[in-house]
Amino acid sequence: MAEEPAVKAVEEIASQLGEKYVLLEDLDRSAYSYDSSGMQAIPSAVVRPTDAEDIAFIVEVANKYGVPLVPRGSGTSLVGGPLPLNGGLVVDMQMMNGIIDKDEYTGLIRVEAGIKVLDLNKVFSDRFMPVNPDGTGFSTVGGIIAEDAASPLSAKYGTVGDMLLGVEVVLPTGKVLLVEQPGPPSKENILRLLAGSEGTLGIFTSALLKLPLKPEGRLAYEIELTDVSDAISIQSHISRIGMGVAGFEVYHNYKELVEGEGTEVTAFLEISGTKECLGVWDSRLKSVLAEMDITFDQIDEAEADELWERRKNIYELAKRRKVAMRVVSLLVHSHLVRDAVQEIDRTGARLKLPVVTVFNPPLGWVMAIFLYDPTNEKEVERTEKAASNVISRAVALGGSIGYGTGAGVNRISPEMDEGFVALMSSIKEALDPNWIMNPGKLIER
Amino acid sequence: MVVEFHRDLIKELGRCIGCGACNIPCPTFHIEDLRETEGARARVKLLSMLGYGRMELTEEFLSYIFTCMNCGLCSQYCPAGIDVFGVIIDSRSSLIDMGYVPLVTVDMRDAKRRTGSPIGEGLTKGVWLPPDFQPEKGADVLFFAGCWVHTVPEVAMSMNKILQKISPSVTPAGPSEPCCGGLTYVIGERDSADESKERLRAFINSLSPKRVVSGCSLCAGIFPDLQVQYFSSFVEGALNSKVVRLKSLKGKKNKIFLVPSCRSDGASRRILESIKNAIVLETPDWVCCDCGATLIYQADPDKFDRWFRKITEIASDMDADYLVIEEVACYSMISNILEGKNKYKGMKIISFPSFLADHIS
Repeated sequence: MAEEPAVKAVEEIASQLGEKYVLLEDLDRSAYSYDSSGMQAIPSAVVRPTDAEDIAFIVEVANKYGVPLVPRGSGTSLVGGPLPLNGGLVVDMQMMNGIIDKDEYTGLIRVEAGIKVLDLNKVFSDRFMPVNPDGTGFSTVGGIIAEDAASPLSAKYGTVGDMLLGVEVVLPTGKVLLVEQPGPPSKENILRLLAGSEGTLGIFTSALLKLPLKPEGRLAYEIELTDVSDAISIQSHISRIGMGVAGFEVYHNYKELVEGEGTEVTAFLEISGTKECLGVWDSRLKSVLAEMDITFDQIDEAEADELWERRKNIYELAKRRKVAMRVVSLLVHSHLVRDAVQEIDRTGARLKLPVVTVFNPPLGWVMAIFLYDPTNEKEVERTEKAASNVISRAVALGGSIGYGTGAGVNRISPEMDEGFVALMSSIKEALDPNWIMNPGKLIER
Repeated sequence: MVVEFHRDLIKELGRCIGCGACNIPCPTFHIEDLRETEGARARVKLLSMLGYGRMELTEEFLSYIFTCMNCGLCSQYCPAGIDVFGVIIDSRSSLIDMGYVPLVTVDMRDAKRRTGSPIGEGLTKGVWLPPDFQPEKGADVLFFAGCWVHTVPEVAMSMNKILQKISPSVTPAGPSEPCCGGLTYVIGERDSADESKERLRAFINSLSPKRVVSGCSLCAGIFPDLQVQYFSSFVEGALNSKVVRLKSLKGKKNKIFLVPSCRSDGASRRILESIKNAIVLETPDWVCCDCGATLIYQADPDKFDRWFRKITEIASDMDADYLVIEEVACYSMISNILEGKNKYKGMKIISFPSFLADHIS
């Protein structure tokens, strides 16, 4: 532990919380220095609160000594969200992992922020949709609210922020507030501001969520495409006829990389609703596909639940090729998805890196997944270059970073988005005058 | 201290995507209140940092890498297909090859050199057999008990009794039974483990049995080439072919919390579930135990004790009447903690073979 203020802060916190809730050893500090982004930053210490009162005290002490605080759930961020870039204390939320109350009839559930998503998803799995249906769920609820995580079914169910009815939050000044619906419209907006604020405006201690009911019926399709633009055309057809798509995710370069051959583009599409609606939409979708001369397989309804776990197939790719992955998440206007995918392809080709692109046409959400050999220093460098190149190309297309995963250490600069950065900075100044709460994420100071 | 792992190991460590899936079944992660350092992901990440020269090897680091429950469940959960436990064992072996032997394994190494078994001094094999016992040659079943089973004579006798019900020709390996080397293998002592394995292979060959049934699941799981079958799987086979049958449980207090072997293929659970009137409770993914836990039990008894308190807390919250421990190694360690008592928090603590012996005919 290097910095004197951090030493003092830690001593004070340890005397209040107890020594076992403060980790100072090198091994512990190193174990809290990574996440899923591949980046690393070592904290001065790790604190492990067990309730909101502990956190309020930690925040108070951090302000007193000007020590940054970095909230951390399971450390699964793809963008360095819980990395202490400027040193300071990592606040490990995992001990706050209980279910506070739940209502099986409405799907309302109040949980502590450190509960894992997979544990939350188990509670109402018979009647309600999982919060994050992509089959991972190792993240914590606090983490996915902070990043306003998206899922393959976000076209229908929105992001986590759309399921959020309330939070208890410890503000950067140490004040503990409960913001919970119902309330005036601005209350909803305040909740939307907190969700996706990437731990820069406060630390969530608990959350009230309303899970969406499972639909009456679901139909799913695996579609083989020859070009990315086919996916855009399908999207434009189904938008025109007003079909409610639950999920539409397209994998570009996946089969070719994994199996050495196969179609360049594979898509998974799900529609859901009443049996009557599905009957009509199914036949309309099939005529759209027939018109475009596109082949597809219908997936049994019983298997629809597992459909979105196919995203895990990307891990399969890394497994077979024995390589590591670097993910960059982007949002562009739907009609520019093809251009974004082309930019990613070009970047991969120029920097000699295999790349898989996963995109969601209804949302305009594009994820570039670069594969690299972690032992090859030059390849690691080229991968970082590729990530920053893809981000700047997306911004040039009028897109942004951060959808679904948060912007994290990539940060949104005034050059990327002057208006947002100015407003967000003002809000940050007002709530966190000492900039102690997760500095270096989302926006530049 | 300078560490140079071989390139393949560094590459495998570097492939970790940091998703944390391997922490889900990790016992030490759960024992220590989900502290990241105690999870399998941290072990892989920190080894990776060590391999890339971003961390220094200290005595504390060395002990840390060698001290886990050795359950191997982490490998089953990695979505990127990294054999997490294999990578950890490989790292331990490399460190030993470089001359970095942690203090926590030194006692085990000495015990093995002096007594032939790493589980410690005072082990006398075959005390549950007649003093002049000699194993038969050419038996249908050779009962290789495994080191820990010999420490609990009543359980060894239960196992032997069950095997005799299944097969008319069973012979225990007896006092001269060698250690299989499974435990030394998981703590990275590759050469010593190979030597033990080959000694056991020669011992088995000298007795020419038709098959070998092991009371140690670690041995069966770590060395598949020895072709020894773990006790529970063997019994399940006999039940399926109706050579033996299970009696129903009596009374109303029949809730069973099973602590399976970490290398379990689910046979013990299936057997218990097939007993009439038995209610087998769901156990969390991270609850398992076998001979691999020996290192924690010996080097960090407080941690093993915390593991036991934690699982009994869960079992007690579920109103379990029985805590059935599949692996005899684990039962023996727990018996030592309980100083021979067979009741704890209102639950009967019993080994799987003893429970089965009461309900098999």
